[in-house]
Amino acid sequence: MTDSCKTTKASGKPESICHKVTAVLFFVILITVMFTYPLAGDKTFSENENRVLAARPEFSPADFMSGDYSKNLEKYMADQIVLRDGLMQKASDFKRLCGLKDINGVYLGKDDYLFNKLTESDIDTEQFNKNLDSLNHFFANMANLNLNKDLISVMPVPSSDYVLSGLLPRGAAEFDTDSAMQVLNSSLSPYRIVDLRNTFALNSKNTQLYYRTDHHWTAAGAAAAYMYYKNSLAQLNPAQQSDSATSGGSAGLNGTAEPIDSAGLKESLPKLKTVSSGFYGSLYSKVLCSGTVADDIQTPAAPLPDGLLVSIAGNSENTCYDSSALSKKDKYNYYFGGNYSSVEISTGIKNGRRLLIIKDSFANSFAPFLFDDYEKICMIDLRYYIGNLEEYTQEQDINEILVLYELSNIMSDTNISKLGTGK
Amino acid sequence: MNFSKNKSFPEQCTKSTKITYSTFKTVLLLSSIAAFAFMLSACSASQKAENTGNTSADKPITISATDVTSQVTGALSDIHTDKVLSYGDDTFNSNVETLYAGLDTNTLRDGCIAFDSTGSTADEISILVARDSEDVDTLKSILTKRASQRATDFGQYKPEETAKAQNAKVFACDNYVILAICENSGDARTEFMKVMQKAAA
Repeated sequence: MTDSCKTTKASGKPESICHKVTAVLFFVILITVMFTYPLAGDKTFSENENRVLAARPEFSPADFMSGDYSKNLEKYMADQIVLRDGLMQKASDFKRLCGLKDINGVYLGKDDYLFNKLTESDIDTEQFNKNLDSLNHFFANMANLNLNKDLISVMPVPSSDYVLSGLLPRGAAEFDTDSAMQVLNSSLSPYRIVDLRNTFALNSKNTQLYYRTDHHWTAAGAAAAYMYYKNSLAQLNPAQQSDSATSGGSAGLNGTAEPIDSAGLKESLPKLKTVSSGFYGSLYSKVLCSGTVADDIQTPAAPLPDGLLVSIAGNSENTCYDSSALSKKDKYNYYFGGNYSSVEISTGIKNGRRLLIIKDSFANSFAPFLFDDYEKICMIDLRYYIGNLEEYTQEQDINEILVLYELSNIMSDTNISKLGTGK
Repeated sequence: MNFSKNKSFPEQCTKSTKITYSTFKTVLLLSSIAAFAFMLSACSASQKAENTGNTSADKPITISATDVTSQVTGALSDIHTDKVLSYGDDTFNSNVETLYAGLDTNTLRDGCIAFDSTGSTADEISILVARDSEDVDTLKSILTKRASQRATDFGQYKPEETAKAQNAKVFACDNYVILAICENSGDARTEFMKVMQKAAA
């Protein structure tokens, strides 16, 4: 523009031609984009982002006056723009090229790992205390109902950014997991805390404990947690372990088990088999960078027990796996087909052990490892469950309880208050 | 900055056109005020109609929240609710403060929730009835928060259900405030208004 601009400014007329060309180009782009909307056709779902896209809003004077129409129209235009996936990927690639390490609340870590960005400001301390109070209240009620309190366990799963902190980008804000665990340990001290931090720290280099593209643990991570949980319960003497309905008075906990080192885990880890190799999880959906390495979905290699019966939403099946999920975006739904308010599993094994798992989605890949240890496993997801859990526990004749959540979810999930409150 | 073009327009006018120009400005101003006032009154009227359900104000509406819920869910073909909890039930009362965060139960005259007990869908009709009409706005904001909580609960696990919760509608009629999370929450609104009008007749 430099020389030509000088010329055009001196003469006057060419300058106006230059402006006209710019205006016409701008107008053409505007019109072209506008006409591509009806021509391209609307999409209802974005596989990459794993979400429903906004539909064209229907015009109504009421919505127009309230501002809803223009708000919805804006969402529609943003969601349905042509080549949306490609444009988003290019935008993410460009951000990464510029050195950005935090895209849409996800850290781009080393070794192709993506991490959920979790900082102190994301945690509501008041909610955390409320949740601990609710858990204490529920456990005390269960102990009063003759459930042995030595068989009540809490397993807070540390998040991947804590266990794999060495892979976080430089300067990434980290949430203080150790302080949170200290609060949890002291508040729930009468019960068994299955603290996975040391076992995971000892094995994070040799075993892939978390998915690269998703916030969940891998089947290997769940297996390591299972081994530690089993060791932790093995510390009870046999009389306590088989004690399914004795009074709440206990001889006290034997403390937590020794962490399992990598040699120990290698020796005891159940064998796994891969059922899918193309899993791009929830963190990938937020980032959409090209060149992301896909994860594997694995399960225990051992066949499911012969007498297995899994009841979900009124349907009973003899498997806990949903093969249809492997052809969809969210392959983590392979485990139990996703989350439900309650899942009842009869394993066919007769040993009198009946476990209630109060859980988030981390339990879905963990539960299959328990099938050889329990006669019955009931899983309750408080996000969807509305009912009286104490009554449910009695109806199902539960004699062991495991609360299994990712630590940040124990701290922030408002649904845990459904367990009641002592205040 | 050169305003010469703008300034020259009135200067070029004749006396009669000056009057016309001035009249035009006055008419434009008055019409704008009238249109603005009309818009405000329309908003106010619409708000009033929603809050009173366009019912005869003299007769109090006494239909139970459970009846309203059952009539609304019965009229909708694409809603998946299999369980109903009503104000007064132990389960409703013990869960009400968790379901509706921030709710002061003393402000509640009645209530009901119809939901999918399996957790497979986000479908839900929640009705809270305020003792006092002054609490209607508070109940509306509590139910809006409930819809947002449902969207969080389903998160990325069930995107279709998350979208339903994000498109949920909260509306009020008399002291009744309703949250509709279903495939077509607009239909739920229509059915709710029909039920309320019938109850007030």
